[in-house]
Amino acid sequence: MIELNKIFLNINQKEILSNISVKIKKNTCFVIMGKNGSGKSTLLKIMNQLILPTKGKSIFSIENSIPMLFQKPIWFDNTVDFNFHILQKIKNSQTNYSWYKKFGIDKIKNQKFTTLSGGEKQKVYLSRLMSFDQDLIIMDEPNQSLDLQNEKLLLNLLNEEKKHKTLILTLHDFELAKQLADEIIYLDQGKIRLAGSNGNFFESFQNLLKV
Amino acid sequence: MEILYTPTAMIIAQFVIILPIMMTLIIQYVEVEYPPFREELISYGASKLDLIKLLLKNKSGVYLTILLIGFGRAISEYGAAAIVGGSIDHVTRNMTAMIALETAKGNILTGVILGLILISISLIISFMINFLKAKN
Repeated sequence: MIELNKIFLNINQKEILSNISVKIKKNTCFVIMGKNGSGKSTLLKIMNQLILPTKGKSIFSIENSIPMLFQKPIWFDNTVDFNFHILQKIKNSQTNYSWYKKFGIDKIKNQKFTTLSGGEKQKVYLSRLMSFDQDLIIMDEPNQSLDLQNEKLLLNLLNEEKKHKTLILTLHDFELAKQLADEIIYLDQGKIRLAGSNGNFFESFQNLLKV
Repeated sequence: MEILYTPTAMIIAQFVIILPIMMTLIIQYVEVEYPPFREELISYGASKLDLIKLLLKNKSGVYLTILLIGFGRAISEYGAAAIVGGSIDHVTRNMTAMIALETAKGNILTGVILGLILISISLIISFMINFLKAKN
Protein backbone atom coordinates (compact mmCIF):
# COMPACT_ATOMS: atom_id res chain seq x y z
CA MET A 1 0.00 0.00 0.00
CA ILE A 2 1.23 3.49 -0.85
CA GLU A 3 -0.23 6.70 0.46
CA LEU A 4 0.89 10.16 -0.56
CA ASN A 5 -0.60 13.08 1.29
CA LYS A 6 -0.26 16.64 -0.04
CA ILE A 7 3.04 15.99 -1.80
CA PHE A 8 4.98 18.91 -3.30
CA LEU A 9 8.19 18.70 -5.29
CA ASN A 10 10.31 21.65 -6.33
CA ILE A 11 13.46 21.30 -8.37
CA ASN A 12 15.61 24.41 -8.89
CA GLN A 13 12.73 26.53 -7.54
CA LYS A 14 10.44 25.14 -10.22
CA GLU A 15 7.30 23.42 -9.04
CA ILE A 16 7.27 19.93 -10.56
CA LEU A 17 4.49 18.42 -8.48
CA SER A 18 1.92 20.21 -6.41
CA ASN A 19 -0.52 19.00 -3.77
CA ILE A 20 -0.59 15.35 -4.83
CA SER A 21 -2.67 13.07 -2.64
CA VAL A 22 -3.24 9.47 -3.65
CA LYS A 23 -3.89 6.16 -1.98
CA ILE A 24 -2.96 2.96 -3.75
CA LYS A 25 -4.57 -0.16 -2.38
CA LYS A 26 -3.10 -3.64 -2.53
CA ASN A 27 -3.84 -5.74 -5.63
CA THR A 28 -5.23 -2.87 -7.66
CA CYS A 29 -4.02 -1.22 -10.86
CA PHE A 30 -3.28 2.47 -10.47
CA VAL A 31 -2.74 4.40 -13.68
CA ILE A 32 -1.18 7.85 -14.03
CA MET A 33 -2.05 9.70 -17.21
CA GLY A 34 -1.22 13.15 -18.52
CA LYS A 35 0.59 15.11 -21.18
CA ASN A 36 4.36 15.04 -21.73
CA GLY A 37 6.13 16.89 -18.94
CA SER A 38 3.14 16.79 -16.62
CA GLY A 39 5.15 15.01 -13.91
CA LYS A 40 4.05 11.39 -14.42
CA SER A 41 7.52 9.81 -14.34
CA THR A 42 8.58 11.98 -11.40
CA LEU A 43 5.52 10.94 -9.43
CA LEU A 44 6.29 7.31 -10.25
CA LYS A 45 9.80 7.76 -8.86
CA ILE A 46 8.39 9.34 -5.68
CA MET A 47 6.09 6.32 -5.33
CA ASN A 48 9.17 4.10 -5.64
CA GLN A 49 11.09 6.15 -3.04
CA LEU A 50 13.73 7.18 -5.57
CA ILE A 51 12.93 10.87 -5.17
CA LEU A 52 12.18 12.53 -1.86
CA PRO A 53 9.38 15.11 -2.06
CA THR A 54 10.05 18.67 -0.90
CA LYS A 55 6.92 18.70 1.25
CA GLY A 56 4.20 16.29 2.26
CA LYS A 57 3.65 13.00 3.97
CA SER A 58 4.14 9.60 2.42
CA ILE A 59 3.51 6.10 3.74
CA PHE A 60 4.98 3.02 2.07
CA SER A 61 4.30 -0.59 2.97
CA ILE A 62 7.76 -1.58 1.72
CA GLU A 63 10.98 -0.13 3.09
CA ASN A 64 13.16 0.43 0.03
CA SER A 65 12.76 1.18 -3.62
CA ILE A 66 12.18 -1.79 -5.92
CA PRO A 67 13.16 -2.53 -9.53
CA MET A 68 10.87 -0.60 -11.87
CA LEU A 69 10.55 -0.04 -15.60
CA PHE A 70 12.04 3.30 -16.58
CA GLN A 71 11.16 5.20 -19.73
CA LYS A 72 14.73 4.82 -20.97
CA PRO A 73 16.02 1.71 -19.21
CA ILE A 74 19.73 1.00 -19.02
CA TRP A 75 21.27 -1.37 -21.52
CA PHE A 76 24.70 -2.83 -22.09
CA ASP A 77 26.61 -3.16 -25.34
CA ASN A 78 26.32 -6.93 -25.28
CA THR A 79 23.90 -9.74 -26.09
CA VAL A 80 20.20 -9.82 -25.24
CA ASP A 81 20.87 -12.61 -22.75
CA PHE A 82 23.55 -10.55 -21.01
CA ASN A 83 21.16 -7.59 -20.78
CA PHE A 84 18.44 -9.81 -19.36
CA HIS A 85 20.59 -11.44 -16.67
CA ILE A 86 23.02 -8.70 -15.63
CA LEU A 87 20.68 -6.96 -13.18
CA GLN A 88 19.70 -10.29 -11.61
CA LYS A 89 23.25 -10.48 -10.30
CA ILE A 90 22.71 -7.39 -8.15
CA LYS A 91 19.53 -8.63 -6.53
CA ASN A 92 20.73 -12.22 -6.38
CA SER A 93 17.14 -13.33 -6.69
CA GLN A 94 15.49 -16.22 -8.48
CA THR A 95 14.72 -15.54 -12.13
CA ASN A 96 11.13 -15.72 -13.29
CA TYR A 97 11.15 -16.62 -16.98
CA SER A 98 7.40 -16.44 -17.66
CA TRP A 99 7.37 -13.06 -19.51
CA TYR A 100 10.71 -13.94 -21.13
CA LYS A 101 9.09 -17.01 -22.71
CA LYS A 102 5.82 -15.31 -23.58
CA PHE A 103 7.59 -12.44 -25.36
CA GLY A 104 9.82 -14.95 -27.20
CA ILE A 105 13.08 -13.53 -25.87
CA ASP A 106 14.67 -17.00 -26.02
CA LYS A 107 14.57 -16.73 -29.85
CA ILE A 108 16.68 -13.58 -29.85
CA LYS A 109 18.78 -14.18 -26.74
CA ASN A 110 22.10 -14.48 -28.61
CA GLN A 111 21.59 -11.37 -30.73
CA LYS A 112 23.49 -8.18 -30.04
CA PHE A 113 21.24 -5.83 -28.11
CA THR A 114 22.06 -2.91 -30.40
CA THR A 115 20.67 -4.78 -33.43
CA LEU A 116 17.16 -5.05 -31.90
CA SER A 117 14.25 -2.83 -32.90
CA GLY A 118 12.67 -0.45 -30.37
CA GLY A 119 9.79 -2.86 -29.76
CA GLU A 120 12.09 -5.85 -29.25
CA LYS A 121 14.18 -3.86 -26.79
CA GLN A 122 11.02 -2.92 -24.89
CA LYS A 123 10.07 -6.61 -24.66
CA VAL A 124 13.49 -7.37 -23.17
CA TYR A 125 13.10 -4.53 -20.65
CA LEU A 126 9.61 -5.74 -19.68
CA SER A 127 10.76 -9.36 -19.34
CA ARG A 128 13.81 -8.26 -17.37
CA LEU A 129 11.71 -6.37 -14.87
CA MET A 130 9.20 -9.20 -14.56
CA SER A 131 12.01 -11.69 -13.96
CA PHE A 132 12.04 -10.21 -10.46
CA ASP A 133 9.07 -11.76 -8.74
CA GLN A 134 7.64 -8.71 -7.00
CA ASP A 135 4.28 -7.98 -5.44
CA LEU A 136 4.44 -4.36 -6.59
CA ILE A 137 5.02 -3.61 -10.27
CA ILE A 138 5.93 -0.08 -11.32
CA MET A 139 6.16 0.68 -15.03
CA ASP A 140 6.70 3.92 -16.90
CA GLU A 141 4.96 3.69 -20.29
CA PRO A 142 5.19 -0.10 -20.60
CA ASN A 143 3.60 -0.20 -24.07
CA GLN A 144 5.96 2.25 -25.75
CA SER A 145 7.28 1.04 -29.15
CA LEU A 146 5.19 -2.14 -29.03
CA ASP A 147 3.14 -3.19 -32.05
CA LEU A 148 -0.57 -3.97 -31.70
CA GLN A 149 -0.05 -7.70 -31.28
CA ASN A 150 2.52 -7.30 -28.53
CA GLU A 151 0.49 -4.55 -26.90
CA LYS A 152 -2.41 -6.99 -26.68
CA LEU A 153 -0.09 -9.60 -25.19
CA LEU A 154 1.15 -7.03 -22.67
CA LEU A 155 -2.44 -6.18 -21.76
CA ASN A 156 -3.23 -9.86 -21.15
CA LEU A 157 -0.09 -10.37 -19.09
CA LEU A 158 -0.75 -7.28 -16.97
CA ASN A 159 -4.36 -8.30 -16.43
CA GLU A 160 -3.10 -11.68 -15.26
CA GLU A 161 -0.58 -10.06 -12.87
CA LYS A 162 -3.25 -7.70 -11.59
CA LYS A 163 -5.12 -10.58 -9.96
CA HIS A 164 -2.51 -11.01 -7.23
CA LYS A 165 -0.21 -7.98 -7.55
CA THR A 166 -0.34 -4.21 -7.27
CA LEU A 167 0.38 -2.33 -10.48
CA ILE A 168 1.34 1.32 -10.85
CA LEU A 169 1.63 2.43 -14.46
CA THR A 170 1.97 5.59 -16.46
CA LEU A 171 0.13 5.41 -19.78
CA HIS A 172 -0.73 7.62 -22.71
CA ASP A 173 -3.11 5.12 -24.22
CA PHE A 174 -6.67 5.71 -23.00
CA GLU A 175 -7.92 2.39 -24.39
CA LEU A 176 -5.24 0.47 -22.49
CA ALA A 177 -5.97 2.44 -19.32
CA LYS A 178 -9.68 1.63 -19.69
CA GLN A 179 -8.92 -2.07 -19.88
CA LEU A 180 -6.42 -2.15 -17.02
CA ALA A 181 -7.00 0.52 -14.43
CA ASP A 182 -8.95 0.37 -11.22
CA GLU A 183 -7.98 3.92 -10.28
CA ILE A 184 -6.76 6.66 -12.61
CA ILE A 185 -5.37 10.13 -12.09
CA TYR A 186 -4.79 12.71 -14.82
CA LEU A 187 -1.86 15.05 -14.23
CA ASP A 188 -1.60 18.50 -15.73
CA GLN A 189 1.39 20.75 -14.97
CA GLY A 190 2.19 18.75 -11.85
CA LYS A 191 -1.31 18.87 -10.41
CA ILE A 192 -4.03 16.23 -10.32
CA ARG A 193 -6.62 17.52 -12.73
CA LEU A 194 -8.89 14.52 -12.52
CA ALA A 195 -9.03 11.37 -10.40
CA GLY A 196 -11.43 8.51 -10.07
CA SER A 197 -12.16 4.86 -10.49
CA ASN A 198 -12.17 3.46 -14.02
CA GLY A 199 -15.80 4.07 -14.98
CA ASN A 200 -16.37 7.52 -13.55
CA PHE A 201 -12.92 8.79 -14.57
CA PHE A 202 -13.61 8.45 -18.27
CA GLU A 203 -17.08 9.92 -17.89
CA SER A 204 -15.64 12.94 -16.09
CA PHE A 205 -12.86 13.18 -18.65
CA GLN A 206 -15.37 13.42 -21.49
CA ASN A 207 -17.11 16.22 -19.62
CA LEU A 208 -13.78 17.94 -19.01
CA LEU A 209 -13.01 17.82 -22.71
CA LYS A 210 -16.38 19.37 -23.52
CA VAL A 211 -15.66 22.25 -21.10
CA MET B 1 66.18 12.76 -9.33
CA GLU B 2 67.34 9.15 -9.55
CA ILE B 3 64.67 8.28 -12.06
CA LEU B 4 65.64 11.07 -14.45
CA TYR B 5 66.91 9.71 -17.80
CA THR B 6 65.31 6.33 -17.17
CA PRO B 7 62.43 4.61 -18.98
CA THR B 8 60.39 4.98 -15.75
CA ALA B 9 60.66 8.77 -16.01
CA MET B 10 59.46 8.58 -19.62
CA ILE B 11 56.46 6.43 -18.67
CA ILE B 12 55.51 8.83 -15.86
CA ALA B 13 55.85 11.86 -18.16
CA GLN B 14 53.70 10.28 -20.85
CA PHE B 15 51.14 9.17 -18.28
CA VAL B 16 50.92 12.74 -16.94
CA ILE B 17 50.41 14.03 -20.48
CA ILE B 18 47.62 11.63 -21.44
CA LEU B 19 45.87 11.66 -18.04
CA PRO B 20 44.01 15.02 -18.46
CA ILE B 21 42.87 14.09 -21.98
CA MET B 22 41.55 10.70 -20.88
CA MET B 23 40.02 12.03 -17.67
CA THR B 24 38.20 14.83 -19.53
CA LEU B 25 36.73 12.35 -22.00
CA ILE B 26 35.75 9.87 -19.26
CA ILE B 27 34.19 12.60 -17.07
CA GLN B 28 32.28 14.00 -20.05
CA TYR B 29 30.86 10.55 -20.79
CA VAL B 30 30.10 9.65 -17.17
CA GLU B 31 28.43 13.03 -16.45
CA VAL B 32 25.81 12.29 -19.10
CA GLU B 33 25.42 8.56 -18.49
CA TYR B 34 25.68 8.32 -14.72
CA PRO B 35 22.58 10.09 -13.26
CA PRO B 36 19.88 7.97 -14.97
CA PHE B 37 22.10 4.90 -14.65
CA ARG B 38 22.49 5.43 -10.92
CA GLU B 39 18.78 6.04 -10.38
CA GLU B 40 17.77 2.82 -12.07
CA LEU B 41 20.44 0.68 -10.46
CA ILE B 42 19.60 2.02 -7.02
CA SER B 43 16.06 0.74 -7.57
CA TYR B 44 17.69 -2.68 -8.04
CA GLY B 45 19.47 -2.27 -4.71
CA ALA B 46 22.93 -1.76 -6.22
CA SER B 47 25.82 -0.89 -3.92
CA LYS B 48 28.44 1.74 -4.80
CA LEU B 49 30.76 -1.05 -5.92
CA ASP B 50 28.02 -2.51 -8.16
CA LEU B 51 27.51 0.95 -9.67
CA ILE B 52 31.20 1.31 -10.52
CA LYS B 53 31.48 -2.22 -11.89
CA LEU B 54 28.37 -1.88 -14.04
CA LEU B 55 29.29 1.61 -15.21
CA LEU B 56 32.58 0.16 -16.48
CA LYS B 57 30.78 -2.76 -18.12
CA ASN B 58 28.18 -0.46 -19.62
CA LYS B 59 29.24 0.39 -23.17
CA SER B 60 32.82 -0.73 -22.51
CA GLY B 61 33.61 0.17 -26.12
CA VAL B 62 33.57 3.86 -25.13
CA TYR B 63 36.36 3.26 -22.60
CA LEU B 64 38.39 1.31 -25.15
CA THR B 65 38.02 4.20 -27.61
CA ILE B 66 39.20 6.64 -24.93
CA LEU B 67 42.11 4.28 -24.20
CA LEU B 68 42.96 4.33 -27.89
CA ILE B 69 42.96 8.14 -27.92
CA GLY B 70 45.33 8.13 -24.93
CA PHE B 71 47.56 5.57 -26.60
CA GLY B 72 47.66 7.60 -29.80
CA ARG B 73 48.69 10.68 -27.84
CA ALA B 74 51.39 8.77 -25.90
CA ILE B 75 52.94 6.97 -28.86
CA SER B 76 53.29 10.19 -30.83
CA GLU B 77 54.76 12.12 -27.89
CA TYR B 78 58.32 13.38 -28.37
CA GLY B 79 59.08 16.46 -26.23
CA ALA B 80 58.32 15.34 -22.68
CA ALA B 81 59.78 11.86 -23.18
CA ALA B 82 62.99 13.34 -24.63
CA ILE B 83 63.34 15.89 -21.80
CA VAL B 84 62.98 13.39 -18.92
CA GLY B 85 64.48 10.44 -20.82
CA GLY B 86 67.42 12.23 -22.38
CA SER B 87 67.18 10.16 -25.61
CA ILE B 88 70.02 7.83 -24.56
CA ASP B 89 70.80 5.26 -27.25
CA HIS B 90 69.41 1.79 -26.45
CA VAL B 91 68.07 3.04 -23.09
CA THR B 92 65.60 5.89 -23.38
CA ARG B 93 65.51 6.63 -27.09
CA ASN B 94 62.00 5.96 -28.26
CA MET B 95 60.73 5.81 -31.83
CA THR B 96 59.71 9.46 -32.04
CA ALA B 97 63.07 10.61 -30.66
CA MET B 98 64.86 8.41 -33.16
CA ILE B 99 62.76 9.76 -36.06
CA ALA B 100 63.58 13.33 -35.00
CA LEU B 101 67.30 12.48 -34.65
CA GLU B 102 67.60 10.68 -38.00
CA THR B 103 65.71 13.46 -39.81
CA ALA B 104 67.97 16.08 -38.18
CA LYS B 105 71.03 14.14 -39.38
CA GLY B 106 69.66 14.25 -42.91
CA ASN B 107 68.77 10.54 -43.02
CA ILE B 108 65.30 11.29 -44.36
CA LEU B 109 64.73 7.75 -45.68
CA THR B 110 65.52 6.18 -42.27
CA GLY B 111 63.20 8.73 -40.66
CA VAL B 112 60.40 7.88 -43.06
CA ILE B 113 60.89 4.11 -42.57
CA LEU B 114 60.82 4.54 -38.78
CA GLY B 115 57.72 6.69 -39.15
CA LEU B 116 56.05 3.95 -41.19
CA ILE B 117 56.96 1.35 -38.55
CA LEU B 118 55.47 3.60 -35.86
CA ILE B 119 52.28 4.06 -37.87
CA SER B 120 52.10 0.28 -38.43
CA ILE B 121 52.45 -0.43 -34.71
CA SER B 122 49.78 2.14 -33.97
CA LEU B 123 47.46 0.64 -36.60
CA ILE B 124 47.99 -2.92 -35.35
CA ILE B 125 47.16 -1.91 -31.77
CA SER B 126 44.17 0.12 -32.94
CA PHE B 127 42.99 -2.88 -34.98
CA MET B 128 43.43 -5.19 -31.98
CA ILE B 129 41.43 -2.90 -29.69
CA ASN B 130 38.65 -2.58 -32.27
CA PHE B 131 38.64 -6.37 -32.67
CA LEU B 132 38.31 -6.67 -28.88
CA LYS B 133 35.42 -4.17 -28.97
CA ALA B 134 33.63 -6.15 -31.66
CA LYS B 135 34.25 -9.42 -29.83
CA ASN B 136 32.83 -7.93 -26.61
